[in-house]
Amino acid sequence: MAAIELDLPLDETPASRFLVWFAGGLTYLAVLFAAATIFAQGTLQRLQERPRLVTIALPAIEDPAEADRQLSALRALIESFPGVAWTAPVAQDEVARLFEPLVDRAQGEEGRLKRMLPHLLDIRLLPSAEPDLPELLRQIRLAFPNALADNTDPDLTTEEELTRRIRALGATATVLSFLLVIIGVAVLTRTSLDLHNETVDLLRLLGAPDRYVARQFERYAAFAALRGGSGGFALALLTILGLLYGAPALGLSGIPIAPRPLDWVLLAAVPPAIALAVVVSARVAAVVGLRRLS
Amino acid sequence: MDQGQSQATILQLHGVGMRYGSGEEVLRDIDLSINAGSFHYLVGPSGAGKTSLLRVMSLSVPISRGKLEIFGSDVRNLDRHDIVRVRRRIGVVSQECRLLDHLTVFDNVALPLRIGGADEERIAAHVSQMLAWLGLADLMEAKPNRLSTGQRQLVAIARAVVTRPDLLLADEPTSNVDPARVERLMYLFTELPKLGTAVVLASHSRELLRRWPYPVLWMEGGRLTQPTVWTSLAAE
Repeated sequence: MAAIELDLPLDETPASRFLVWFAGGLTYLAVLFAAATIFAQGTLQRLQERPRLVTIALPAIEDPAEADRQLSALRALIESFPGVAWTAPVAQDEVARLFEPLVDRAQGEEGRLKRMLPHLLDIRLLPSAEPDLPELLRQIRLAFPNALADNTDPDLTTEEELTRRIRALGATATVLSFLLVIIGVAVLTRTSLDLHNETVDLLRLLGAPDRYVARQFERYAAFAALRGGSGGFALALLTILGLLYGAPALGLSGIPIAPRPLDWVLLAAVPPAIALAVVVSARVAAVVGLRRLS
Repeated sequence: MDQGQSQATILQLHGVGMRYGSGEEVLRDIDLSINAGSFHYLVGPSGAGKTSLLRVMSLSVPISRGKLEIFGSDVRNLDRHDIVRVRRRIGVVSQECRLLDHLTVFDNVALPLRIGGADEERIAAHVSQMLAWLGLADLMEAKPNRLSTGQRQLVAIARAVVTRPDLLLADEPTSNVDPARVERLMYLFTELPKLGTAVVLASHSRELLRRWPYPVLWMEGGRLTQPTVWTSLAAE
């Protein structure tokens, strides 16, 4: 890419030249962190949209009327909980079939066997409502101390928690990258301003207003962001693609990631956002610095 | 030459003093009036304060006391935008030339026009004409660091006059220029007042003062000792 032509020889000073590398490096990091955030968000959504079924078991109650009363109370408690789609008692015949391999049918009567079986209740959770499953189970145990819960997808909560943490870390690191860009560009611009003090003085002598001089720094910052940012973005994409397709091949896959088209669009928006931060920061730093010089 | 007594005063200094930082005053009690279309030499020994006075006149440094009026305005009442407007009406040629070595000769001369927002067509016409007139047409695309000191001085002069300023302040503009070009430059400097530009030219050269006799402002020890001398050194 050709060098930019400006009244101030900004590409001749180390501080300004470093701006290209700085913008490139920060774009690389910001894209990686943003990718972690965006992909984690997509993964979280997919995890939460998975059908989730929890089964509650009440110990055997011999009195059928009492069993019905307790089941009704349990259903009422569960269905009042946010995020629960529905509850459905499992038919005792079905329960009997489940327990068949465990009991000696020959030794007991059919009716007595049924009375010895636990009462099972299936709970369907609404994924979109993000139900607080641990809290629901706690409330059930409080009301029915003998009840047992069987989460059919026991690792789901762990996966969700891990993905949530990755999303939070990624988002924090992305924000920090932007802050670092803003602060770093401001410092580099101020350093350049000091280094080019004499030329700035000459431009002012020739009738240049501060906004004209500030525009020089702004244009150079835009050039640096474009040059460094495009390199940083390309490198970040290679890294992401390497991680996405290389890790499973090496048997390193943990949580499955399947980026959506929108995720790539959002990622592509990161370099322009960084470039905007670079340009605005350079302009503000130059304007403030010029006021200090005058 | 008609010294334009009837013309408007564009620059007035009343009891002006100036110091750099907290040092001693380098200019003391300067009283001076410059009219539109006038020509003055600024003469004095080294260290007399000639460059400092030119810097005061170009609003490059603030005065520490007194009153400075330029183009009808007291500088104390000028805001940043006013100062920019005033500076665009002043052409400055410093001893060091202060060219931008990363730009071509053409771009250096075009700089004040670009800053002023002139369109490229007008810039190309003005700059080419100016450089051709100064004999620098072949060096338009050259970088200043490849020029001789005299050529650099010519470029600095071209840059100062290309906007046809109302006030031209030149510090030793002919000191490194060959005699043939000095003729040309002095022709330029003495023709500019006819177009309304006031010229203040600091020089050490007695030869210059003898050949082109114009009023002299004599400086010594930071003071104007003969504030409005209307005789040239040639008459001394």
